[in-house]
Amino acid sequence: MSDLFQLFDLPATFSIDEHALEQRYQALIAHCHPDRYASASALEQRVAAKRAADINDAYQILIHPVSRGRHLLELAGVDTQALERQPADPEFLFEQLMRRERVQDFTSLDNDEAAELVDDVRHQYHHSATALATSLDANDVAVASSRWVELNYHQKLHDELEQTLNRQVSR
Amino acid sequence: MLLQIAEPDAPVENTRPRRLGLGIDLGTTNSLIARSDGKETSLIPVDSGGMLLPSVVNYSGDTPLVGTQALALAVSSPEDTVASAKRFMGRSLEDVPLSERSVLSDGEPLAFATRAGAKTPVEVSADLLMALAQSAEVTLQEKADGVVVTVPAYFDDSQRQATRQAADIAGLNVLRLLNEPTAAAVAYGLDTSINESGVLAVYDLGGGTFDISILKMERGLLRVLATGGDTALGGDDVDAVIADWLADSWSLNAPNTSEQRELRRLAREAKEQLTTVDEHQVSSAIFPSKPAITMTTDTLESLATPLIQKTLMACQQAVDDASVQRIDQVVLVGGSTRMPAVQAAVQAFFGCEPLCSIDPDQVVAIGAAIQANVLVGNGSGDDAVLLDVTPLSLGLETYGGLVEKIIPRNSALPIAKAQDFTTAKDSQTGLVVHVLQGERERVEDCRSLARFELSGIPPMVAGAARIRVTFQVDADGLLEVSAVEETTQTQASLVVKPSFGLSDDQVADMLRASQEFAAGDMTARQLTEARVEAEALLDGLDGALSADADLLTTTELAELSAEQQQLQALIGSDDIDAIRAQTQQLGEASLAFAERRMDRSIKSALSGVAVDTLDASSTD
Repeated sequence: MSDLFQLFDLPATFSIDEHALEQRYQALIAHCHPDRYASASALEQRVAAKRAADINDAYQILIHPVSRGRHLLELAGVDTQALERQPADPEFLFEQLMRRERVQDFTSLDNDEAAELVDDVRHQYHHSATALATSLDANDVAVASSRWVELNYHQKLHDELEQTLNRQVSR
Repeated sequence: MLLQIAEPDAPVENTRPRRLGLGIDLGTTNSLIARSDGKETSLIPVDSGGMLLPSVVNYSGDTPLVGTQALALAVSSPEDTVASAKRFMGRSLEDVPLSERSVLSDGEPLAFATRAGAKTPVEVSADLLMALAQSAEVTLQEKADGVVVTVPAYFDDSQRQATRQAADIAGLNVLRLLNEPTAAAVAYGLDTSINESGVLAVYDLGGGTFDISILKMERGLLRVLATGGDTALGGDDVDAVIADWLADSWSLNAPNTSEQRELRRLAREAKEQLTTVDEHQVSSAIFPSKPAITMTTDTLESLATPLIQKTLMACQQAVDDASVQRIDQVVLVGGSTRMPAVQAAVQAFFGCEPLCSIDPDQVVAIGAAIQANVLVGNGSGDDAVLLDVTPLSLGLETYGGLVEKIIPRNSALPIAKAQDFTTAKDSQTGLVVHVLQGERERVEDCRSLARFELSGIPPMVAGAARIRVTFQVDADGLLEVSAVEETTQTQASLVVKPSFGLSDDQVADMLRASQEFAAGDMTARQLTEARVEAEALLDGLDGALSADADLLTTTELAELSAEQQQLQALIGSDDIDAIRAQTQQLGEASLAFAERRMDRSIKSALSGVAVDTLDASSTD
């Protein structure tokens, strides 16, 4: 497992400068894209295509918090596939289930309830991301593993809610 | 020998003569070909003077007739006339609705039954491409060095492979398969307005399909963020709704085939008229007893609104997928966007006035020509890079008929992803790799692209084998899948060729059969290609060595020079195999050097940004 942060010359931490990552990604992909080498030799085309694919892949992994967390855990030697197969804490699961039902019934909530749910989901999401960052910074792999599993759930719910909100705005 | 000093960022100063790159829009109804010199772009006349070549081929005579000539024969010999072949590209018989199968021959691969025999959609497309290329050659008095062929963004892997095959059979050197919306953005120069960053939507409503793409332009990069649409929604559906409305208004019960055709014609006419006038009288000699009906733009709008709303739902999905807050510009593509109701709905939805100064039927070919000119080698070095995405997720069949996604849709290209699998049973020696494309979870709801077997796995207990399956998608959107059992290095791989497509041998046969390449020409062509490839490698290496020789040890440098001299000595000979073999050998010998150079150039590209970032933050 190689450190993907190195490709962008960024430190391997969960809290990243998204703007810097974005800029570096743009510069690198513009530099290595096969179109830049369309009239070069087959060899150079191949080398460029391979690098371009690596850069696209690495960027996708690092830009999303869940996959960035997964990568950092893997760098720390954690088997994240096994982690995903482990059953989550029942109490946590139950709480998520309740939130999820409310997100699915979002349109039937009154304004106050809706605002409260949005705050709650966003807060939980950011809270779990911060908790993951803290435990990773402290090299506490065991705690970071649990926080990462939680972030997985919070992220899914967060995305679902944001999409529902987008749709309402555009209507 | 003159040494060229090449910086990786600034491609070698162009000392070669200008090369000719052409852009081709291979459309369902019409096809176009265009050229650009970097400043001006124009369509090339085809089909006795017009700019549009009807995508129709007639096979009644000894040689295929294309375009208007074929269209004229459609009435007298409909069974030998093939239209809309694009809709059948990369499809198998079972994909085609029963009502449309009458024109097809029995069995696979899917083909049109004609007097000249069964013609596959790939062959029909190849005939169209050949006609376009020949028209261009006659007009420009020059053969194209390379072409960019456009495909709809929603085209899946098998449809792209089929398009690629058609171009190969037509003897064209494909620089790139380019997505139509990306080409449209290039035509408006939106890729080069690099100082302006912004988000762009391309709304493409054709006769039978709707396509929406969201692109972002920034710092010389035009990036597709999301793409979506509906492959069974278009202007033809608007015609159908109007025709039904006319039938209702005239109280026609169950109109017969010729009456239906007349209703469709009246509908299309009314739709087209109402793009320029506010009112249109509909009457017909076929229905003499029926009074003339007044259709207004309002009537048309109320009839078309449900269909337009459907396109806007797809737009919303694409905007969601792209996670963008607002759209700065909208480009209109496709003849159906001439409808004022469509333009108004698009403007209201995106909140900005759509760009439509370039003819929506020509905009894709124009963009393709501009990009072809860059890719063929006439670029200035600071041309924008077009970053396309996969339209659909790619995955594998796993236990229980479920699909495991390996590459999610809207992933930037090129991309490579690997996933590890293991055996389910003790002593399992083989594994079927079933490659699928689509968003649904179950195998039967996705499109099956290919199936191959990794065999020869040594017997192990269940779960002990480590099978790494790698998916690679290149910049054209073409997929290659390989599988390796890692503990024993048992390998299997294939370029995904749809089972109903043509094999490499079949393509080679067709290439030989087309009159363009008699046996002698074929050898001459192969020799030229081998020499061009060898020269490109030698030239590239010369430049590379003069710039970065310090990346090699003295021994490495000596080895490389020896291989280089051997190829140099062979290049003038007629021995195709020897030239190819030595090119291959030199390529392998210089692979590590090329990688080190790429890494060095990446570092320098990065250091430029790192400084920019600091500057930006200090001025904030």
